[in-house]
Amino acid sequence: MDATRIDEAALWERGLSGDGSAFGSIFDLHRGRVYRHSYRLLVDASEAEDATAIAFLELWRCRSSVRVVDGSVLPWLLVTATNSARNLNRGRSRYRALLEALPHESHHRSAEEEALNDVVADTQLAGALAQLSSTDLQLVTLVMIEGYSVSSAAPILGLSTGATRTRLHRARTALRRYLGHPTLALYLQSSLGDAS
Amino acid sequence: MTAPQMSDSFADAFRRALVTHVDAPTRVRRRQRRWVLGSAIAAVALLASTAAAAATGVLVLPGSTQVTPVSSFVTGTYVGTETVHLGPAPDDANGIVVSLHCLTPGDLGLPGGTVVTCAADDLTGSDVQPDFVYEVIPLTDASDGALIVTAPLESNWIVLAAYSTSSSSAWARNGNGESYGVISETGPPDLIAVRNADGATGYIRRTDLERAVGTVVGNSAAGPTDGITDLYADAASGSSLPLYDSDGTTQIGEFTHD
Repeated sequence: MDATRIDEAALWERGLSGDGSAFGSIFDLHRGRVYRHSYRLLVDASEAEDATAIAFLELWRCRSSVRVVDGSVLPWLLVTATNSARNLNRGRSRYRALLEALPHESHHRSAEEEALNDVVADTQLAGALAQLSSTDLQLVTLVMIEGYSVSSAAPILGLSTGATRTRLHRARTALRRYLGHPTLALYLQSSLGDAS
Repeated sequence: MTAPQMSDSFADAFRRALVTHVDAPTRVRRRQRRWVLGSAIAAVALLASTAAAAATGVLVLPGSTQVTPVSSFVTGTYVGTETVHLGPAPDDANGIVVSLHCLTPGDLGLPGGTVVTCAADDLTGSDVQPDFVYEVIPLTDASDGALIVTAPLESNWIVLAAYSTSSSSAWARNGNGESYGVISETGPPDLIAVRNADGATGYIRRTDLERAVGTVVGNSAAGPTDGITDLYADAASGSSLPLYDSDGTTQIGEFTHD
């Protein structure tokens, strides 16, 4: 884990100086997590691919003020992917030429995935997440789903630690109500698959 | 369960596009930043849209970056790629402030990869004297004061360059403990400095703006000033917000974004 962090910090340093290959490596590191998160919100493979791509393009555009947490840009990417998912058209218009040149495959779920979807309904989770405010969704993403501490998440969202705790409590209650599920954390984690 | 995966073909194609995108030189969008030329030069980065960009004389608003020339300006008209000689650097210089103006269409390149793109459209119209669009480059990008500007053969351009020193000021706080000033790289203060379309300067409340925007401005990962202002400019279009004095309570007008 430490080695990964050190590598990423070095990559980010190189990326900041305009090294495209370093950005490529950062994409390799985080594309899985960012895509799964986008998919969780959009429940559409092609849209999730676009939201993920936009997040990485924004990482470059916004590089001078990206907040790094424990040597990683992943929290920033997740927050940005959330915004991209909620404002997909705006992001697409900014990067239209680049995105339109990319190939979207037709995605078919396997029988196994279909069966699993009956157990953990992506659409149910997406529907519940969609009812949260932007801030609450970011909080749930970072703290409940991705496991960042409240103190790590707070500065990214521009909140105090105390306010973050309060909001998180409210968001958790709201989400539990939307989902009607008693063991929310388990539910969310089960929808993530391999967290690598 | 089997987690959803990005398709390999999309991932491969996007990775290539991302690497190319990052490797391409930075392009300066003209007219995004406005300067005021006075006895001192004050750079005031406010909302970067035409209506909201504020020029406030030599007033330096809290949170802004002030760039002050510390040598006389070197200016001249050049053709094609040339080296501009600034001479020895003063001790207090920590950068070089450069303004490039095209006389013919083409791309002008500065050390560090910044490119000023001049389309034919930029060179026509009534705005004969464009804003002082500038770039501050580090001293190390012009060793011994030799500033190399790349340009196409037979392309004509004018340069204005001087050694400079840059310093950032912090946001100020009013009697209620609210921060006020310009949007900086750390995000927006509680009271954001703006200039109205009719020229009135004042502050709008960040929470008012967020309500108007109705989305994620305050919650987004603190994007760059550029990103934040883009988002504000997009979303706040047409909305009317109370314009306050820096005390945050005295309303002095309305801020309307075109």
